[in-house]
Amino acid sequence: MKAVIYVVILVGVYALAYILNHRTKKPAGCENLREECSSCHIVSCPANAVYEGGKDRD
Amino acid sequence: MKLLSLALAAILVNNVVLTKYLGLCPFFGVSRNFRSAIGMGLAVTFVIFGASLITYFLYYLILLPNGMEYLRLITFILVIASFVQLTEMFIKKYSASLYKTLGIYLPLITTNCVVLYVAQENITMKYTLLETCVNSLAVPAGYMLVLVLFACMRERLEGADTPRAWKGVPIALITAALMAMAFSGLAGII
Repeated sequence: MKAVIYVVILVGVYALAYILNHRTKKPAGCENLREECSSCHIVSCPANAVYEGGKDRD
Repeated sequence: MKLLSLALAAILVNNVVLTKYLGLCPFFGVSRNFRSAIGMGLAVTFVIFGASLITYFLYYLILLPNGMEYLRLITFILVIASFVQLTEMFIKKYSASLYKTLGIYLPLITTNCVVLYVAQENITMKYTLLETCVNSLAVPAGYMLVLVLFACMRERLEGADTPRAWKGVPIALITAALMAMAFSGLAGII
């Protein structure tokens, strides 16, 4: 039971950190910062040049 | 003397990129220019040091006394992911200039296996707190050293007359292999 509570707390901390980070506005002038990584062809990675932020690519 | 040996071994002899082949994805992705390499190196250093200290205390203060050592891996993964999110949030909120320099590299660090490797190594090698601090600074220092050297070489390779089929990642891989061979020559110094 201790282990379950511990894991739930850790997941909760991560979820909270994720939500807080996404709600924090980017500083002015940094809205479109992007480093285009070219080491692989995984298009679901945000660092890839062809990543479209989860839009449909049909 | 032991700490100096530990640091030198982590930076040169057991360099994570060239001897253990860890963190290769960001290594090839963010080594196209010197400025990116410095930014990524600093961000990795900060995250590895912070995440290693948190995981060290969590392991010895919570996991070990409660007999939950088997949760080590999931703990470390979640701690690293949370730490990266919180770091990005604080930088966004309090330092626009730092965010401009490091912000784009922070999400890449979550997928950098070097962070998890250092956290795991500190525990498996049974390092003390001081040794953990030294190792957690020396490993990313080695990562940054290789990243910066490699970025300088890639900048020169961009203008070099390489065959078309070798341009980009192929010639980068060959260069990395040559660097790995050069670093393996340092194996006997410690």
